[in-house]
Amino acid sequence: MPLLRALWITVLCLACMVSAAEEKTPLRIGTTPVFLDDQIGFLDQWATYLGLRLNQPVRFVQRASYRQIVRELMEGNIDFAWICGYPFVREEERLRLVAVPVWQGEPRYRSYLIVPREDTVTQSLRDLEGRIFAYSDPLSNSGWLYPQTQLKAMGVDPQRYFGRTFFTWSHRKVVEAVALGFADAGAVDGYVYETLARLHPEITSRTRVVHRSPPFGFPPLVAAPHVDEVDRLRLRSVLLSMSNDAEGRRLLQHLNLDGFTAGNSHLFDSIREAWRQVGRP
Amino acid sequence: MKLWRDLSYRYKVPLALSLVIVVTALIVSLILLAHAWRDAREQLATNAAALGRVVARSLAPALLHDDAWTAFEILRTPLEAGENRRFLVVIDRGGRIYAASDPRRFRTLTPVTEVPELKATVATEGKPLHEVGEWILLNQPVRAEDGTVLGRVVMGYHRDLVLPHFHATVRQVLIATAAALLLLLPLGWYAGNALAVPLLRLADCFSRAGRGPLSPSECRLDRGADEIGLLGRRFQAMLLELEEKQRLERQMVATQRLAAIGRLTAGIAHEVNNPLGGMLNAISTYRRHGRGDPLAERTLGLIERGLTQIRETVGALLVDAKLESHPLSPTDLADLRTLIHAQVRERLQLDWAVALNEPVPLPATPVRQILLNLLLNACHAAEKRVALRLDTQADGLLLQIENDGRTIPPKRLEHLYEPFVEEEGEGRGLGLWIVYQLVRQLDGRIDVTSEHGLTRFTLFLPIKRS
Repeated sequence: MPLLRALWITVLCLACMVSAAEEKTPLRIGTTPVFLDDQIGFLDQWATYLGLRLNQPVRFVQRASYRQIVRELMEGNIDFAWICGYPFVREEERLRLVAVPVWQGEPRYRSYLIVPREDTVTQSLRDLEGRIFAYSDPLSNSGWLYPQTQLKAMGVDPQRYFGRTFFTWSHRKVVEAVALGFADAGAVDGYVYETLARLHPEITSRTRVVHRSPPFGFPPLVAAPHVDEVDRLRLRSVLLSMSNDAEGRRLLQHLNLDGFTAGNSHLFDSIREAWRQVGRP
Repeated sequence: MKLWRDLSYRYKVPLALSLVIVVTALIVSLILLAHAWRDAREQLATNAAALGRVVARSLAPALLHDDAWTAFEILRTPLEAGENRRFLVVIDRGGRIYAASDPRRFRTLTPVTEVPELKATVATEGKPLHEVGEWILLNQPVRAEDGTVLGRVVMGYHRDLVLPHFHATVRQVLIATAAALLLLLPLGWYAGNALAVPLLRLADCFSRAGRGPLSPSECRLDRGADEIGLLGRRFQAMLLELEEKQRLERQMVATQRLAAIGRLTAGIAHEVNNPLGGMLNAISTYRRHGRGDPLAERTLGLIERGLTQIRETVGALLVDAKLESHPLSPTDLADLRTLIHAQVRERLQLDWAVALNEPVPLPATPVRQILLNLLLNACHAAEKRVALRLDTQADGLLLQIENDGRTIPPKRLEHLYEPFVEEEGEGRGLGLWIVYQLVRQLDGRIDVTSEHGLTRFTLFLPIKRS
C-alpha cells in the first residue's frame, strides 16, 4: 500500500511542523475513572498518538467525578469524553456515541461485587446487610446503578440496607477500600478490576470477587453536543484503526483493550432498563 | 556491717568515696533519663498535636459532607504503608468509629465504648494526652467553620515510638556516666587514700606505742594543723610525757631502793661495828698481857686480820660526808689529776677541763672521793679517752665524767649504784655506792647515760651559802 504509506509520511511531516499543529485549537477529551486514569505519562502518549492522526493537538482533561465531566460536556468545555454507559443513557438525546471499547472480544463489561479476601462467607449482597459498602460514583453503572437494581430486586431499601455507604469516586479506590478492610464490600467495574489485577495484583489479591453481573455495554466515548459530525467521525476512525498499527496496539495493550468499535445505542439497553427500574431522575 | 566495721580505713575511705561517686553518677543519670523520657514524650505530644490539628482541619469537610472515603484517605496519608505503631481514628458525634487508618482493627460503626484502646478517651476528652496500655493517645476535636464539633480524631502512638529516641539518650547518658566514673573513681580512690594515710600512720604508731620505747622519728606523723595532725602531735607529746613519767618512776624506785639499802647497811654496819670494836680491843688487850703462845698468837693474828677487813668493809658502807673537811680548792683537783695521771699513763687520753679558780664552800674530802671513784672507774672502762669537765655555776658545781668504753647495758644501769652488785672482774662494787651516798649526803644529783660508746656521769653539787 504505497499510497497509504505516502499519506502516512505526509501526516508525520505535517505533525513535525509544530506551528501547523498549534494553530488549531486542541481537542479536549475528558476522562473518568472508567479506566485507570491515574497514568499521566500514558495519557500524554495517547494524546500525542491521537494528535498525530487527527492533525490536531489532543488534550486529556481529568476530573474527579463523572458528574463534572458530564457537566463540562454539556457546557461545551470539552469536546469528547470517555464516560460510563449510565450517564450516556441519561443524556443520550444530546450525546452521540463515538466509539465503544472492545474488551475480551466484546464491547461489554460486567460489574463485580467484591469483598476482602479474609471474608470467605459472603456469597451475595444478601449477606451484607448492615455492613459497610463502597460505591465508586453515583453516575457509574457498575459501581452504583447495578447494585441498586439488585437491592431493589431483593426488595430492600438501598438507602437503609447497608450500615454505611460511601463513594470513592474511582473504581480503583473501591478495590483499595475493600482490600484495606475499610469497606466490607464494594461494587466495581469488572474491566478496571481485571486490569488492576494485571498491573497491581498485590491489591486485587487481597479481595475476592463474590458476584459478576450480566454483561453491560462498555463505557463509551461520546461527543459533546457542540462537536460537529466531521470531527466525531474523524476521531471514531482514528480510534477504530488503532489496532492497525504497532503504536496503537501498544497503547491498546496498555489500556488492556482489544480495540474500539463504532457500537450502537442498543448496547446500553440493559443500563437503560436498570435506570428505569431504579426510578431516579 | 561487721565486715565494714572491721575494714581498714585504707579501703574504707576510698570505698566510701567511690560509693558516693557511683551513687551520685547514678542519681544524675536517672534524673537525666527521666528528663529524656519526659522530653521524648513531650516531643511526641507536640508532634502529635500538630499532626492532630492538620488532620482535624482536613477532616472537617469530609465529616461535614459525610465523605467516609476522603476521611479514610486523610487518616492514611500521614502513615507509611504497613505502619502499625501509629493509628488515627475519627469518631463521629454519635460516639461511633467513623473511619480509622487501620480499619480492620477499628471497625467502622463500632461504638467507641466497645474498643478497649479508645474507651478511655471518651471520659478524658478534655485531656490532650493519656496512656492506655502500650498506647499514648491524643484527642483532637474536629470542628466546622462555626466551631461546631463534628467529631474527634484520636491518634494512637505506640510506646515503642518514644523508645528509639529515648534509647539513643540512654546510650549517651551511659557513655557519659561511664566516662565520668572512669575519671572520678581513680581520683576518688587517690583522694580517699590521701585522707586515710595519715590516719593509718597514726594508728601504726599507736599500735607500736605499747610495745616498747618509741622515738618520734619512728612515727612519720602528719605535721598538718588538721585534726589528724593535732592528734599526732598530742600523741607524740603524750609519748614523751609517758616516757618522762616512766623514767621518773624508775628513778624514784631506784632512789627509794637505794635509800632503803642505805638505811639497812648503815644499821647493820653500826650493829656490826660495836661488837667489832670490842673484839679488836680484846685482841689488843690479850697481846699486851698474853704469854706469847705462838699458836694463839697466830690464831689471833688471823682473827685480827679478818676483823680488820670486816671493819674496813663496814667502814666503807658507812659513808659519811659530814666529816670535818676544808673547802674544795683548785689544789684538790690538781692532786686528783696527779693521781689519775698515774693510772692513765700513755694508754689513755685525758681531757681535763676544770674551771675552778678559787675554793668553793664544798667539803673537799667527799668531793675528792666522788671524783676519784668515778675517774678510776672511767679509766678502767675506757678504751682511749677519759674526760672530766667541771663548771662552777652560781649555785653549785656541774661535773661531767666521760669515757669511751663499753656501753653499760640498760638492765645494769637500773642497779648501777647498789652495793655488791658487780660484773665479773670489777672490784668489790662499792665504789659507785659510795659515790651515790656521798652525792645524796651533799644534796646533789647524779645521772648517768650510756649510749653509743659514750658513758657519761653528770653530777650537780649545790653550794649552800649559809
